[in-house]
Amino acid sequence: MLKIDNLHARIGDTQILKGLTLSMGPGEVHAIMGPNGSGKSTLASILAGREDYEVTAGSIQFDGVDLLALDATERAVAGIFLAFQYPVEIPGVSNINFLRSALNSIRQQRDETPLSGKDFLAKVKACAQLVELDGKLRDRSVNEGFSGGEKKRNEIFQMAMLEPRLAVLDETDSGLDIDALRIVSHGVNSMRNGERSFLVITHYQRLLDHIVPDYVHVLAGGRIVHSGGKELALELEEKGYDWITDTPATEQA
Amino acid sequence: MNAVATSTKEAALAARVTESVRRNGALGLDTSEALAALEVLPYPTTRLERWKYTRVANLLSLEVEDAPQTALPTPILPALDAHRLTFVGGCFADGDITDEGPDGCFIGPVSEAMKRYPERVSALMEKGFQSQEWYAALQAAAPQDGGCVLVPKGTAPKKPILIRHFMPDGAVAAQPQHLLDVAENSTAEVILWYDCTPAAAGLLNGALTAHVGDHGALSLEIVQNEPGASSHIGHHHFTQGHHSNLTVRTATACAHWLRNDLHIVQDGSDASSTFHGCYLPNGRQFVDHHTRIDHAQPDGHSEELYKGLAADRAIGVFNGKIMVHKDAQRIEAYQSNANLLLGEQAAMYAKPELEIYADDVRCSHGCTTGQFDAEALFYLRSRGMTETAAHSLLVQAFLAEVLDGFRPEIRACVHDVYAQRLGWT
Amino acid sequence: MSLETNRMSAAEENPLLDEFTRKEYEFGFTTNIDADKVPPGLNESVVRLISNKKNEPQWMLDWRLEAFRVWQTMEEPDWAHVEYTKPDYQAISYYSAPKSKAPLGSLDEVDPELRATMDKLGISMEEQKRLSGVAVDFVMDSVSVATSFKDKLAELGIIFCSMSEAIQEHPDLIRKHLGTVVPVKDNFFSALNAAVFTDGSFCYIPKGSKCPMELSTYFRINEAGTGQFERTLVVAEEGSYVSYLEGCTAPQRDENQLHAAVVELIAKDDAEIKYSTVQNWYPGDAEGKGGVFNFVTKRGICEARAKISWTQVETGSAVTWKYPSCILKGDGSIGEFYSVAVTNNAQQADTGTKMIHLGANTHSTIISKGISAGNSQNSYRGLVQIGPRARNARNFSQCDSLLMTDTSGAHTFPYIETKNPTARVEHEATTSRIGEDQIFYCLQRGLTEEQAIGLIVNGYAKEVLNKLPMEFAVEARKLLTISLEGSVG
Repeated sequence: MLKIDNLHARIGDTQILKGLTLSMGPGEVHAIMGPNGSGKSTLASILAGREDYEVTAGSIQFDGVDLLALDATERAVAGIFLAFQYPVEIPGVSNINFLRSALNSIRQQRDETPLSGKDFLAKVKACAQLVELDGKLRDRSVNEGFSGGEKKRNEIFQMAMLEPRLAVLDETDSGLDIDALRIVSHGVNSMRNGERSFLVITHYQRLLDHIVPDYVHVLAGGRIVHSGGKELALELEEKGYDWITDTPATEQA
Repeated sequence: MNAVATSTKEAALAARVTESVRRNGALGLDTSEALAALEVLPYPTTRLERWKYTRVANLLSLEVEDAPQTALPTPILPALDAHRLTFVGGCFADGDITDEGPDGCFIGPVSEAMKRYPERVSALMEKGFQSQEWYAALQAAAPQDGGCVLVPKGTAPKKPILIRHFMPDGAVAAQPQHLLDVAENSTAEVILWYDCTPAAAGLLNGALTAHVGDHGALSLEIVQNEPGASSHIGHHHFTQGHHSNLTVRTATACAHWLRNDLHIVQDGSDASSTFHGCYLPNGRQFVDHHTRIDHAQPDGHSEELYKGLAADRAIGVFNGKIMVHKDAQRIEAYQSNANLLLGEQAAMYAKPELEIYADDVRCSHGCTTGQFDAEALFYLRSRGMTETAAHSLLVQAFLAEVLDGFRPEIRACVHDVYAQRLGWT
Repeated sequence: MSLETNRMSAAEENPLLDEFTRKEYEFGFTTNIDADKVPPGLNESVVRLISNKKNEPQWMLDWRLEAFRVWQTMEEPDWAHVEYTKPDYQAISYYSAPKSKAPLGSLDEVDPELRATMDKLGISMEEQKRLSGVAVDFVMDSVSVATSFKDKLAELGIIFCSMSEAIQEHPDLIRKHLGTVVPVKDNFFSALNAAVFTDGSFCYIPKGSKCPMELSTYFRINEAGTGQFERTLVVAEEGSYVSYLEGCTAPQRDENQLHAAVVELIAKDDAEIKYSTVQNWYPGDAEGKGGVFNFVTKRGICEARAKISWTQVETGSAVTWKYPSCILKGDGSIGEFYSVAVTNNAQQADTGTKMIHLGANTHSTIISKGISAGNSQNSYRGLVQIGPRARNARNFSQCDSLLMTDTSGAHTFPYIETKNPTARVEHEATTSRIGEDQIFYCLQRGLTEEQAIGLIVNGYAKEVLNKLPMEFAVEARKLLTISLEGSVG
């Protein structure tokens, strides 16, 4: 479903991705790990369509469509969701209002009818329960005054509402305590099915105890240098990243 | 006021001041531009936005006296180890000159600097900019001696420099010109102290031109402790280079009638400016602080804090303008002004202004005028304090945010002046 | 700052922006109706002609003539942040009344062309009636057309009619109150207005009466060269309440059109007046040519425990000079000012409010949200004046500016004058811009850029928009979004 081929990308004069290749099938959970500065967040931003980054070589195919030809809104309509590492605040715009606008905008662009008020609220109730997001938070302005944990739960709440085909989670576990981690993971796991895929970007192995991946990749120096199954995460936890980055790069199978 | 009458009165005042000043002793600078400006610039009246709350008309009838012979005033801040320069009525009266040669530090009067290093002085004077104020033109038309501190690249004087200007008895006009130049990668600490005799009743129309070079730092403490009846108009202009740091703290300990203009221009990117001030006019005093910061280059930072109290029938004016030029992106400018009124007949006029022409900026200003928290007052009194004592404590607490930034010797001195004026025990 | 260079590069860089500024002003059309138009120029005979055409009593003519003489001695004000070509007062026609075939008894009898005009405005009378029983007094150029719900209001003793009618039918009330809040001599434009005003609204709420519906008026400037000089007076007697809406549109013209209105509000003890304005004047094209000049004097006086709130959403008009004010005369009175002002292209706004605290325990609140786009300049100029007898007066002001482009300017000039030691004044102002991060967040959730901006800007202005009566709020939100389309630079 997602085919990234030899992706090179830079921001300003700095080359960050230097030949990243990755394939994901439907229903799969892939974890991306790597030292700081390796390009993990860059990958997430590029997939979501952030224009600060310039793709200098390579391609990305999503469901057979050239993803790089679509803008950020179009990619959302195509079914891509990014759970931000640092979700931004939008004062004066309530969470509910924001989501309803987004949901109906996507539906309209897909030529679907907008959700009725009743259906929308029912959906909100169900999804909020998933991440234990109470009524008060739902009515507040988007992320305004939210704690770190609340912001991350809000991201997963939105993901549940928008039902993407590919969800990219950018360091969703950073800054979370054990309870928030549990709630966020539960939310993600509930959304796993045979069709929906997840790209989980994380620095620490801890999250992967809760969201068990099918594949683990190590991103270093702007490329994927090693891939394996879920055991790879434990190995990295034990040995650190130097072990991998010191050995010659291996292509993903 | 009849326009024709004013302009003749202005010209007459200008003539009286410049002639008297020249007799007392003025610098030999080229004043043709200033004289031309004096003809053209409007005399400040309350119809001019920048003088809306400040009446200067009575100065037009000032009968200027030449400076009398005055003994050296008693030294101030005796415990402070500093380079000291003392000026009386715009003339150099006392001080040790430090001269480390053409590439070294110079600390002394402008008159000496002009003799020894005319190019260094004119280079610095050029950095000062054309003010559109009539009184600034008057000062430049007959500038007198003042403190000159020239710090070359990569150095720092080992001691702070204390420049003192003292106004003598009588209706004397004085127009000192101070110059500070802190070159690239240098630092300096300067104190500018204005005081006078209790019988001073003239006009102090002084100017300061300062430049802080790239990566340089200047820390300036200005104290106005003028118990006489003189009028003081101050023009303080600063320009900053790239990644430089400027801190200016102004404490108006006592002033009969003061209009203090402070103007900072960030001419280099990534510059930082901090300027604090406090004032406490009482009786029938009038204190007006006008500040302006021009963020002309990107990535600048500024922080302004002015706190004032007006007691009895005094009037306080604060006008702080933050101007962000087009393309001066990523500026962070914060301004805060807090005012308290302590008398039924006192008045405060505040006008914090923002003029923003760039869009990637974070600017804010906050201005409050109020009174003491009744709860706090009651709490102190319930612990046995008299109303006066409680008031004085709260005033000190209010001003602490600004006064705490001064060096302890100055803080103590200003506190004592306030205590005496307001009858604190 | 070169406007030329900025505009060219903006068009090159941003085709969306370019398209927007070429977009036809939505309401740019004219009604082809015979207009009874007085030749341009302002002199004593024009003043007499206006008064005569309206059949005014002698006292009204005298008042106008006195005002005209005062105006002749005054000078047009010069404001630092607003640059415009001063209108030629002798080139404007001061009266234009559309000819109608029969006297107007009800809406049904209105000239079909006029009716069509009203329909085109999109806020048709029918819609208003259907929605919530809003009584509408439609002013087409200088003559009021129809007044609905007059009878219903009359039952409650509420008078809501055109100013012209009020001069005829309620001369005592007019003589008593006209010019008491904004005296003729107050400023250049108020003097001009007093001499040549042709119509406006009069509203009178008797003691204890709460007006059950929102009263509303729409204006249009139709004829080329006709200034619009309305005069509105609202009197709320003790303990009464009224909510008044004002909304404007104007057709496209090349010459600048002058709008110099005067609005006087009188709130007696314990009365409350809510005055809301949604303004959508023609803003001038991208070069700033042809827009409406809006110089308005709006002021209210509050007696004891009375309350006046001004709520406005302003988009449009080439040059705006407008400071709705409250004189908090009575003890315990309250003044409020909520404003969203959008400037785009080459618009210039210098607006704000004045809160004058005279009485004790008076409160005022100012929430001003400015939005600057294009090459516009948006200035807030406010005055909070605490008089020596205003014990325990309180003011809170929040003035925020949102910059949408790096070629626009946002300025704040608050004047805070305090003469009472027990007063508390708090003023805060912040300037910021729409974060790219905020927009990207919205895009990633499937919103288009237009939708994202609309959402963020409406969120920014929410505090003010919430103060508008509901029907107006909907129109206002749409207006905000439309006025900022393609404006992120």
